[in-house]
Amino acid sequence: MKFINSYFKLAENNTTVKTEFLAGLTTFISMSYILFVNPSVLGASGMDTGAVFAATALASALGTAIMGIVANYPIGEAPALGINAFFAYTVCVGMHVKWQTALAAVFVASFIFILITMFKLREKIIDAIPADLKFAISSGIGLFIAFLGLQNGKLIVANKSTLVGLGSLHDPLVWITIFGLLVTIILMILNIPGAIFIGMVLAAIFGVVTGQIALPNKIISTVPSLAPTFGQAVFHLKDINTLQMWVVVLTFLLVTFFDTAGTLIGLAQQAGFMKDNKMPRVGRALASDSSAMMVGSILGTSPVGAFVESSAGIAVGGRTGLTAVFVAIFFLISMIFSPLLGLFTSQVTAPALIIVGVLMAQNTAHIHWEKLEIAVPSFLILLGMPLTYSISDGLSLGLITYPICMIAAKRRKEISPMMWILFFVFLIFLWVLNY
Amino acid sequence: MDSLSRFFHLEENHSSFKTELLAGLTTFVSMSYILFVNPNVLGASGMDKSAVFTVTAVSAAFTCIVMGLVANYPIASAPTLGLNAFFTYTVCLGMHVKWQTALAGVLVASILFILLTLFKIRELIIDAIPADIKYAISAGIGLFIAFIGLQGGKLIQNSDSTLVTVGSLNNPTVWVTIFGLLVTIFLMIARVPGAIFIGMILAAVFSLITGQAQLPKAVVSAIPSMAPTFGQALFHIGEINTMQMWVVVFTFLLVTFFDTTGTLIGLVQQAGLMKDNKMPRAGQALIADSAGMLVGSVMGTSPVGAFVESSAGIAVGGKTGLTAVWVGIFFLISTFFSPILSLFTTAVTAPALIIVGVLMAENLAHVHWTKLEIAVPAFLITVGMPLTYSISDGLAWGIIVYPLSMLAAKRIKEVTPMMWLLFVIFIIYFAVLNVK
Repeated sequence: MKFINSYFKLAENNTTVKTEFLAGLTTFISMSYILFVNPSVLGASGMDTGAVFAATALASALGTAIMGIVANYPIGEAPALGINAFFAYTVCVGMHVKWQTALAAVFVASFIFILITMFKLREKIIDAIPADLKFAISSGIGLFIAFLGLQNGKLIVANKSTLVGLGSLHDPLVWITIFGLLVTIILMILNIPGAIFIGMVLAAIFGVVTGQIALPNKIISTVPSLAPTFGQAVFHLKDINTLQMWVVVLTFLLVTFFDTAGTLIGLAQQAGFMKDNKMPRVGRALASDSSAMMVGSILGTSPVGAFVESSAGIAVGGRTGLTAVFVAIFFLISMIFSPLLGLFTSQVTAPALIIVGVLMAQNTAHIHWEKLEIAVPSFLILLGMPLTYSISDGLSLGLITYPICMIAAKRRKEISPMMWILFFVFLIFLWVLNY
Repeated sequence: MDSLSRFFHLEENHSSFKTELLAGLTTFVSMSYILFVNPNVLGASGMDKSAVFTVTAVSAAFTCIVMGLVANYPIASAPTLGLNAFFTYTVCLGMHVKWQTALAGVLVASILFILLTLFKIRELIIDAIPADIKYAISAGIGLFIAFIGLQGGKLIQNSDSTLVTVGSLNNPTVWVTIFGLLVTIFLMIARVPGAIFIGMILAAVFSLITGQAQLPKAVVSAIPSMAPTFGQALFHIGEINTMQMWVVVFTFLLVTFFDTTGTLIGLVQQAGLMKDNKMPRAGQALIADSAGMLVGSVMGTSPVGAFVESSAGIAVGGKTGLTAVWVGIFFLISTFFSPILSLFTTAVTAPALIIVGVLMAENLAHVHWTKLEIAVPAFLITVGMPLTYSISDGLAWGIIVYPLSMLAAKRIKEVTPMMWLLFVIFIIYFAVLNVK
């Protein structure tokens, strides 16, 4: 116990093993949907869903453990939503690329990723982003998370004429979300520890009691085999030899780069880790992130990255890598307990995401809104992330307008070279993705 | 000119005749889409589109001029988006109600509205809303406006899997928006007066040059007749005698009440005209608003209410009713010049809306985010408005959660009776919205 204390620096971070355990459980439950969503999404590319389930669990466990032990951050890693849809629907189905080849592309992208990280390029980028924009990124991610939660919880649904609209109270699932949200809000305001986690458990019970969620008929079942997907990325490396495949590699690289950089910044900001606008041990966090992606590609899944849902665990007090280690252990255990996970539906986890959005919205107070050259890019990042449903698209809207605004304000000299590079990178990024 | 200056208190409000004219023009151009959108939407209910075009222009002109002369606020009104869709698709098509009966429903709702306003109930409600919530409302409306602009400019489009996604650069419309946005941002930061309006003109020119828009064939054309719809509401008032129709009346009332109240609060806040968390001359503004709804229903259109796009005119410096009077004049003139309005597409006006969202986002800084009992309702309002695409739905989320979170924070004594009343009303509102 003392070893754990000193290794993870629990006392310095004002936390305890119990808090880290609770945080790990909270983050795991908030993330666990990926165990079910990822196989169903990647399955569309022809991959074996049982193998993807096992690969998702293992890749998440390994990636998160590395983040916890090497970087000492309470951040969970798993195959990211959005990029898994890009993998299956855009690359495999749309471009008629075999899933094995797509996995090879992920492997190559992760390799380049590791190189960039080793040369401290990623670190430089994160440090070069101005403080106001970092606050905007945090808030934007918070809005994005809340939007995810509101959609999952069926409080917001599709609307033919306005794209989005209020959900119907006739949908019984909405009531799980409403119940969970109200309970969680009250518990949080009362300062009850683990409020978010208790709220999720109560919402799950509510769901079972109202017949919305089925009690599982068994608790344990066997782990599916990884054989169908294991190593396929490596066997098909030679398929990365066309321009089209290199564009695919570049896209995997760019999107994961900024999705996870944005997420890491936002989470570090939320946990109060930022010191003088810099993220400590950032090199290790990035290295862990990139390694997780490579491991995942070998096991057989789309790019693995930092999960915004880690904010739920941070919100209940998780501050060190011990949280991540617990998350990793839960991912391993989950392989056997897959039937139980069915209790934590997206409506049950929605309140956690919404509350987290509230907590991250605090960052909006620190943005210098009265200076239009700061307000405009900040606003575009903040609103862009939820409304384009993409962290990197939102980020690109802000980073492209930032230098233009600063020039208009006659503050051109304050734009660091890195921000100019990002300007061009994101211009190219938007071009590549939209061509 | 002097008497105009005194009547509208131009000097006191740091404005000038020229500024108010520019502001009026800016707001008008940002709102003018309603002249084309409203006939299209209401037309689906069977109403004569040309008649609706004229009614839209005249009812907007009437309400703007009354708002300007009586309340001295730079706030423009017209038949509102959302309610016109509710009128057509939910009431007429969904509930199989004749459009004439639906108009009668709007008329009855507007009479109730005027009564509520005369008894100062609406004013009481506005004053009772806590300052933090008012800031959240402003910010929420700003995000909502920006969302409208981003969608209209095709920077955001539909996605089957995630509801929304970034627009495609292959769509030439997007480039009009991008061009307009960058030019407007640049001009604004460089403090060029009338930046938003100049940006719109340049964007319109850009879309002409890139072949996005055609030069209109005619500049003037005859005004269509209002006869098909005029007075129909009165003739059919006897049909408001079923439970279903009273629910329709109630919904028209509640949604207009809170949509326009929320909008008025947000706009007055943006213009810096709030004094001690109270809206001066609120009674006059609300009367103007309600009168407009009544007149509009008699002429033949869905509920008329305050337009968030007034924020564009406020952003270029419009501070008094003279702005609104100009908007009214432009609406009247527009009945002749309908061909030119087609130049101001949603992509051309989008940057104005987006910029306005930025300006209103400032209010976020004034919310006490560190106090969770304030942060939660404020957040729900701020994100609820754009994400449910409705001012009243977003407002409802926050108003319902507010007493509950204050209760949890042991600050229940600070919750005014009016906030409790609103809590109950919004719960009923959701119940009514969900009646099958």
